[in-house]
Amino acid sequence: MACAEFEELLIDYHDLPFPERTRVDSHLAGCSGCREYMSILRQLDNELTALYSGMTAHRALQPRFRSRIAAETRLARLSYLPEILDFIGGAGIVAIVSSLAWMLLPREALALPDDLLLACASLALAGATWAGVRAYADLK
Amino acid sequence: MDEQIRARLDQKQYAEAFKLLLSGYDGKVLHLAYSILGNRALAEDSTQDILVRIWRALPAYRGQSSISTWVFAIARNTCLTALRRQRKSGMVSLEQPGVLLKVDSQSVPTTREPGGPDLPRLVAQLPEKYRQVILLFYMEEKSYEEVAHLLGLPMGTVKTYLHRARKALAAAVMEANMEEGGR
Repeated sequence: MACAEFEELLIDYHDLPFPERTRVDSHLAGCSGCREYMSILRQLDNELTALYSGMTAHRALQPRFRSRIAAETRLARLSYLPEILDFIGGAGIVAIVSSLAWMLLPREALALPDDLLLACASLALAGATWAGVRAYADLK
Repeated sequence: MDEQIRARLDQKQYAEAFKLLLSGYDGKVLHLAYSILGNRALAEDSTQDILVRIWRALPAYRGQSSISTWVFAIARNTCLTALRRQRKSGMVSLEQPGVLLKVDSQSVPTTREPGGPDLPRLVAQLPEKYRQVILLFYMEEKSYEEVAHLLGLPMGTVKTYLHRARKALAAAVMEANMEEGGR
C-alpha cells in the first residue's frame, strides 16, 4: 500500500518536475509500500505499451477496403460531359437566335449566305435536342 | 501534410488530396475508432465508413478548422453513430459500457504471465471516457497532445482521465494480486 501523500505523485511520476521527482525518489528508497506500488505502475505501463502501441491500420486497408474506396473514387471522378453539354446548349441558343433572326428579319438586312444560315438552323436543332437530353438526365 | 492536402483541395484535386489524407490519417482514425468502439473488427469497419464519408465530404471542406480536427470530428461522430446502432440492435446494453471491449479482450494477445491480471479485461471495465484516453495514449505513443486532439478534449482533461485510469488499473491489479496470493 502506497503512502497517501505519495500515491498521486507516483501515478504521475514521469510528468513530475525535477525537484519533485527527486523528493519522490528519496521517499521510494525508504518505503517498501510505495516501491511496490511504483513497480505495479511500471508493470502496467510496460504491459499497456506492449498491448496497444503496435496497432496499425494494416488490416483496415485490406483489399476489400481499397476496392471500396477505389469504387467511390471512380464514381465521384470529375466528368467533363456536363461542360461539353453546356457548351453545345449555349451554341444551340445562339443558333436559335440566329434562326429567328433569319426568319423574322428581311434577307437584305442580314446579308448572309443561305448556306451559313442553314447551318445555324441545323445547329439550333441539335442544340435544342442536347438541351432536352441534358435536362432529362438531370431530372433522372 | 495538411498543407499539401489543402493545396490539392484548393485546386479541386480531390483524389490526390484523399490519397494524402489516407496515408496520413488512416492509422489515427483506426486508433480513435478502436478507443471508442473497443472492438477491432468493428473499429476496422467503422474506419472504412469514416474514410468513405471523408472522401464524400472533401469538396465541402471549407478550411474553417484544421484538416485533422475535421477528420477526427467525422471519425468521432461516425463511431458514436455506430455505437448507438450497436446498442439499439441489442448487441450491447446501454447499461454496460465497455461490453464490446470485454468481448474483444478475449482475442487480444496478452503479455500476462499465467495467473497475472487480465489487463485487457481490466481496461474494458474502466469507465468509457477513461478507457478511451488510456487506449489512445498507448496507441499514440504516449502523446497527451495527440490524445487531446483526437478526442477533442482539453489537455488537462486528458491528463486527469489518464491519472484516474492508471489509479483504477493499479488498484485492480493489486486486488487481483491479493486474490491470487490468498489462494
